[in-house]
Amino acid sequence: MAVEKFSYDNKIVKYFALATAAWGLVGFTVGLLIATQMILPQMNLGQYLSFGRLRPLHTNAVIFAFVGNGIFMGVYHSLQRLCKARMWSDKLSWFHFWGWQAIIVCAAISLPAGFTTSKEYAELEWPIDILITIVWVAFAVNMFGTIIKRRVRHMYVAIWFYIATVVTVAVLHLVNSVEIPVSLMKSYPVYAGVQDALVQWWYGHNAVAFFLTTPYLGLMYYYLPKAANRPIFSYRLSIVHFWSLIFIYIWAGPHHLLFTSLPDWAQSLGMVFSLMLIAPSWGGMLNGLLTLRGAWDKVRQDPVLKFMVVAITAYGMATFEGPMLSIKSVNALSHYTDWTIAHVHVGALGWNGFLTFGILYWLVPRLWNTSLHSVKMANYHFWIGFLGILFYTIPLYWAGIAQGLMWKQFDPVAGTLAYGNFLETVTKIIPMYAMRAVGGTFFIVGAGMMAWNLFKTMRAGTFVANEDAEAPALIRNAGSGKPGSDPYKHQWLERSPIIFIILTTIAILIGGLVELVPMYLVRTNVPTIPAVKPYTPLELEGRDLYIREGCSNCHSQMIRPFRSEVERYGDYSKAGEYVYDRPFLWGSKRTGPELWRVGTRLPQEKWHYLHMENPLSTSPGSIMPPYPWLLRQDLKTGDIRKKLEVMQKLGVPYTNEEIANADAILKAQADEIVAKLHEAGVPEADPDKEIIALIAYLLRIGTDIKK
Amino acid sequence: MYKDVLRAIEGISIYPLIALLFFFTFFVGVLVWAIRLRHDYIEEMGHLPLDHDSSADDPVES
Repeated sequence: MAVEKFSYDNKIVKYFALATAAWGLVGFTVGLLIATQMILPQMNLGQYLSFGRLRPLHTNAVIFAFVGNGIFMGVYHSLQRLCKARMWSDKLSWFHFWGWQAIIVCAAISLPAGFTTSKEYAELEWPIDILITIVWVAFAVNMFGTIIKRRVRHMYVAIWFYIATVVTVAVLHLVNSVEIPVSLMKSYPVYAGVQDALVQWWYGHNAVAFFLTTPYLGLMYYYLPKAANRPIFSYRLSIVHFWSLIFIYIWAGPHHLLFTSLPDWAQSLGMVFSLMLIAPSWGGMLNGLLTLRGAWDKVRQDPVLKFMVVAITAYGMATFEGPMLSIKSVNALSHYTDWTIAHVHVGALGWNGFLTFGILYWLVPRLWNTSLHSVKMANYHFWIGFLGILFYTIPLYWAGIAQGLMWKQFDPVAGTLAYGNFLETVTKIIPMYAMRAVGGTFFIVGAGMMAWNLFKTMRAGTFVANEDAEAPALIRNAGSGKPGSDPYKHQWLERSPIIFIILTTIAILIGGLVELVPMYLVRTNVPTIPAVKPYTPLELEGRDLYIREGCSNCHSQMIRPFRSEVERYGDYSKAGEYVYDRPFLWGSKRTGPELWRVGTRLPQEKWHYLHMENPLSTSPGSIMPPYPWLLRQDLKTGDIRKKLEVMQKLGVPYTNEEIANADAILKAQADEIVAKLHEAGVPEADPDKEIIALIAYLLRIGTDIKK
Repeated sequence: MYKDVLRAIEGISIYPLIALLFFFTFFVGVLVWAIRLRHDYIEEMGHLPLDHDSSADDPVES
């Protein structure tokens, strides 16, 4: 058989590895800054560095910059070796690398600048969405090209996970990003209210599934056997793991919307499938851990394996906890609290963080043909990082459960809320927030040690950009490739990447379609509540400021049908109230109180004016950032007619007359609010400032139903 | 509201049930498939990442 000579592209792997480490440090540091802001609100350093704008920067940096580059590092390294082929196109590799870094830079600029769609993990505005699509397609073409020209007959299980990732992320991104531009950096989604919420959380959940989980499972299936120098415990189990995981995962999104206005059947579907997810997830975890049976002595000495074992254990814990949190009665307590934040950080710090660190410690010495600069330092990193995870998560579990219970606590004698003032439940958990920041600091110190250790390793070694390799050419026509013609039953599939891609796509589409199609059909014939009217031009501008400042990162707009919530916030939310909400702003965390119907609870313009300027003036002890710039900056109304036109196009019943007179309508309402402010003793109130629009919006939300 | 509209869609209540049955069948199918795979094939597949094809794959003692 002819042996072909070729070379592996190590340079692209090196660049992605460097990007992983560098962006990781950036993402963690932004995380520490926002953790500090939750203890010391004065750490909100002006409008570009306030919590609401930095929180999406943190999540995007960690997910797409740190984990994203980590995925590409691992895929570009392992795929070439599993296929015994160089990447299909060097040009596409580099386009992918620089394109992805450009996206990250765009995010790092546009998010602090306030350009956001407000949709969690999909905050980037439409031009960046298009760039993401182009770069992702380049990655997909390069990856499938490599798979097709491979010199190994069978596709190892890691490759299946990579394929599922590429296909599903593309579908998720395309469906969730359908939006109509208003201007270069502003758009409105085609979905509204309940539908927007379902699409967003179908996306949000599966971003976790197919960006943070499946590619990393692929990496686990490659690097764990490499590091332990033994094959995966059960290859059969990995087949079952793969198919059942990708099939079930896609259905579970609605568990983010339990007790909301989402129809019950969708909530139940989300809960049932979330519970079923335990099976494949734990199958995968056990497959990983059992790979080390008989090799645990190695784990004691090798920091790479230590990191991997904790990562896989964290995966197991997070994937047990996730289904538990999807049980409606547990979710009733956990949702909107720090419990969720603790849960995701078990995944992010433990699973993604530690697996990435393990791979970096394994990979860098091999790429630079040397040994790790200091094994001892890597062990210290392991322990300080591990302590960091504990210090991060345990206080937050405590905080989340304590606050959730306080929200629900009634005074048994008076029959009123035991903690009637929301702020009281916040000040009680600030010590936990402080401990969380300590945990985060540990984690960053560890990552810094790793950066130094890897840097010294690189300096000591010699890097080979193109690593020579040879393998026999693949004989294409061996076996017919059809099922049944072969003694190996799964083999025909692993030899046919195209069929494999199609089957994977079908598996992930079924769940998505079952959930989304009925919701989409509803759009045309849903009866709206007659009292619910579209936002006025000024309120719409105020709403866009609410989005710009990232208010929905800390405030929900969805009152669940519980006695404690109805008592505290007013009548529970109805689906028909949100038909004009583009995007929906239900939020997922209540660091501050629920705001739906805030206009009924706090109808005074003056209160909101003073509170936005300095929250401490109305709410002593508040950790909300101040927004003094809203009082100084002029409201830009240049796009208002365009905004209304886009809304009209999307089906919001604005009349042509309203659109034509938008400026006058806006001005009249602003004057009205300012008159009230002057009357209430705020003589400096100016109708041209942004604050007026925000007040108009705050007083409006959730109040229509009362009219 | 939405719920009433969805109730009006014929057979909406059977939707989750069909979904569950569909998945269950799928799962059993994959399970049977995996169990019936030949041992030597499984061995070969499991060893794919350990195929030593270049020097960089050899662990470097530290």
